[in-house]
Amino acid sequence: MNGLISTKSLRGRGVIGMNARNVSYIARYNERALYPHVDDKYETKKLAREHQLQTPPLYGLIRYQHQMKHLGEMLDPYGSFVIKPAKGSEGKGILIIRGRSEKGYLKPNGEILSLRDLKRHVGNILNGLYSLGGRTDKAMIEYAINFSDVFEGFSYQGVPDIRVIVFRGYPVMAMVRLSTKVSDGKANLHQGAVGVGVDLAFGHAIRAVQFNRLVEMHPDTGRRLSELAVSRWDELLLLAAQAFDMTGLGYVGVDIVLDKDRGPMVLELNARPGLAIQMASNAGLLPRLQRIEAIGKKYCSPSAVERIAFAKTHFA
Amino acid sequence: MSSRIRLFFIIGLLLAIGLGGILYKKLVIGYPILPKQQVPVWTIEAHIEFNAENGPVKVSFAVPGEQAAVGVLEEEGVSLGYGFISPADDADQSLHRRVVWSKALAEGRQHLYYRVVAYQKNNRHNLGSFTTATTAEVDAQYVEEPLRTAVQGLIDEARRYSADASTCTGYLIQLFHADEPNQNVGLLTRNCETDLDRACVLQQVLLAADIDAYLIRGLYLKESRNRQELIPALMIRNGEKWETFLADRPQPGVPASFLAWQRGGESLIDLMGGKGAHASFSVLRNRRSLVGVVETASARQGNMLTQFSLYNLPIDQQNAYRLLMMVPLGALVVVILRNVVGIRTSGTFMPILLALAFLETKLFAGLVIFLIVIGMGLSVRSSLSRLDLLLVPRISAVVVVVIGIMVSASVFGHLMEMPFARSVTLFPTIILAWTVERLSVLWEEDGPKEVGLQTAGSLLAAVLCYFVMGSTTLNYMIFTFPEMLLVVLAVILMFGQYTGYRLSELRRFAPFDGERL
Repeated sequence: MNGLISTKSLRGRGVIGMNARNVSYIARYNERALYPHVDDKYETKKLAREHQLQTPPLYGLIRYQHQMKHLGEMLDPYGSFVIKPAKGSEGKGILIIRGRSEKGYLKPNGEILSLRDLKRHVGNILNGLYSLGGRTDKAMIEYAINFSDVFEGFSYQGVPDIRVIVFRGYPVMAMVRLSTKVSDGKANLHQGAVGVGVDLAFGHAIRAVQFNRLVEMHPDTGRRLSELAVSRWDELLLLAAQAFDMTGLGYVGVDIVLDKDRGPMVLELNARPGLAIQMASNAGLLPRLQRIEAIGKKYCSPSAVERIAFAKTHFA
Repeated sequence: MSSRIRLFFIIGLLLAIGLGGILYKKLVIGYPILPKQQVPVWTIEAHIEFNAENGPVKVSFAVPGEQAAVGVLEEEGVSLGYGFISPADDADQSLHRRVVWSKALAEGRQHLYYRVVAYQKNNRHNLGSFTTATTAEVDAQYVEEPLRTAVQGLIDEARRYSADASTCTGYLIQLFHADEPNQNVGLLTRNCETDLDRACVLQQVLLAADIDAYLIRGLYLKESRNRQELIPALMIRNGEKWETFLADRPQPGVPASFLAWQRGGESLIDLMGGKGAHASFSVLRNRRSLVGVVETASARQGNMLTQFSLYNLPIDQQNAYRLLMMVPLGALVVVILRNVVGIRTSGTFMPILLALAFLETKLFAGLVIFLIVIGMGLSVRSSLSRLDLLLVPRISAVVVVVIGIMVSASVFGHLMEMPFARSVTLFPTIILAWTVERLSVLWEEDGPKEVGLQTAGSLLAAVLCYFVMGSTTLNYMIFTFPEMLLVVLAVILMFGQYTGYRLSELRRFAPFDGERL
């Protein structure tokens, strides 16, 4: 586990680094003009609705400071909800409310927030605290996911999501991201979430990493991560593959949540998906990406179902 | 793929222009690659004295021009109340250049000064090849008796023992300088008092022998010396080429340090309206920076490229650009640290700005101030965050507090006579305040661990940038050869297509099975 791995071994496995990802895939396959579709989650949601892809229902949108006066009324009908910045990155600024008590709103960890706290949070979002470059932002209030039973015991105070790397419409690699105590309930690997690589054929666990190191068990719940198996896997892959048709981004990370009642929903897209997925899947991305590059743009199938079949045959 | 080819083309073009420019300036113009190179220059002052005859005065004085081994940097004539005409600088003239002083009415002892600054050129070969010649006639007295026989005797003897004009001249010089001169030489030089007189006679003999010859007079550029006299030499045509003989040496050639003051022409001084003209010379040796010498010299020769030099800007602008031109090198350091090593810094170019601040405060003082201000700034931030302020007012408040901290540190430092506190000026203040702002946002978003990591990364990068950007050698090079910017740009573009692993990724991806380093 310790020490440095040689570049030869990495190259042999086809592991791509940040530089290769940026130069050879993101710069080459992701047109800059398409970024706003994914950098703004509100835009992504609108686009998904147009393409009839399932996303978490939107309860409200706050664009301006003065709209905050009505925040209380806006939240009244909902017992649980999520407040998140439209342009937040790495899961920053996402506030989950699971319920209410007399004293106020309950966070998943039991902390109680007043309406004033929520307004401050929305204020920070509008002022751009969580957005890239500090640009002013919108606050989205949406449905709080009730995650599927298959993840029971695999997550600590957060919603697990499934990150699928989709290259030219073909799913190439997938991983489940589980929040932990250190990640503060966020499903972001940088912040300490656990990434469990899953095979493309069935959605079964391969191995797991946390903070770039292998782990056997969830650090907080103690469940064996190798027992993880995602249900409704084909539906989920289909959603990921269709997300490509919706944005046209060649190299994209599609984040999907699996709701107990509503099934798979597109949470957000990422035009610069991280590389830790390779360690969780114990495989390099390069051979798979090159396999698809070899097909040639003209021969890439327009049918998401066919693309999934191809991926299952070649990358599982 | 085509974008890759285009990039390589651009990189190649930039490298070719940049390196070509550097090589041209180094090899052709002669800019030194390393700083602080100094070359000796000589200031030669000619002092002309004469008695004026209470009437109009005109003095024509031979002065040196550009030569193969010695170049002229500056020249000026100083004399109160005299009109002064300096010579035109075309190539033909440079063989016998003359300056002219004139005055409508002058009386008594007169003093005229002419000063020239000369430097030794690098090309030590190819000495004294003057192309244009003046045809001189043999003086009448040498073709009449009794001198005619003596001259003819010498010529006959010299011709017997020589093969060409060069050896013939050498033989004659030997005869003139023999310990016991033969009869003919004795007759010819009976009235000679100085070396110059003897050289004049020798020139006449050479002319009578049908050898094109003329007299040149010059000085050695060696150590500083006062009251020097000009040393005579002879230049003769040997077939196609011209050769120079010192009047007392039978071998052709003059040392590279020989500055020919007068070449051809009738005399050193032509004086109208005065008597008893005498010129004496003093040589002062000192050192100047090679860059300055090169620029002045090539400007005199009308080279356009030196006109674009940054050294032509006013000094205060030069200093601003000296700092500014180092920023690209800092950027290169950041590119390498981030894309090849994989160090995380807070903000892409914050390390460069920090390095600029450190350059102003000096490294140690800068680091101390940085750590104090960041520490205090972050603690103020955390107490402010309990007040439920909106983001922008909160950050602004932090900036105000940081500036307050720095100002009081300055004042206290001044009172306590701690030298480094005084180095906190406007520029570092702004950079540090801005850094605190960034780091407090980072603290809010990613927590203290990330702040620590990025602060350490930024500091490491800033210190490296400080050493690169503070290097006087590099500073000199990029300031003298601004073409280096193109080379730096080309290298940065090359890194733009670097798809290899980062050093940090070798650790990050270590959980893969494989060979360990």
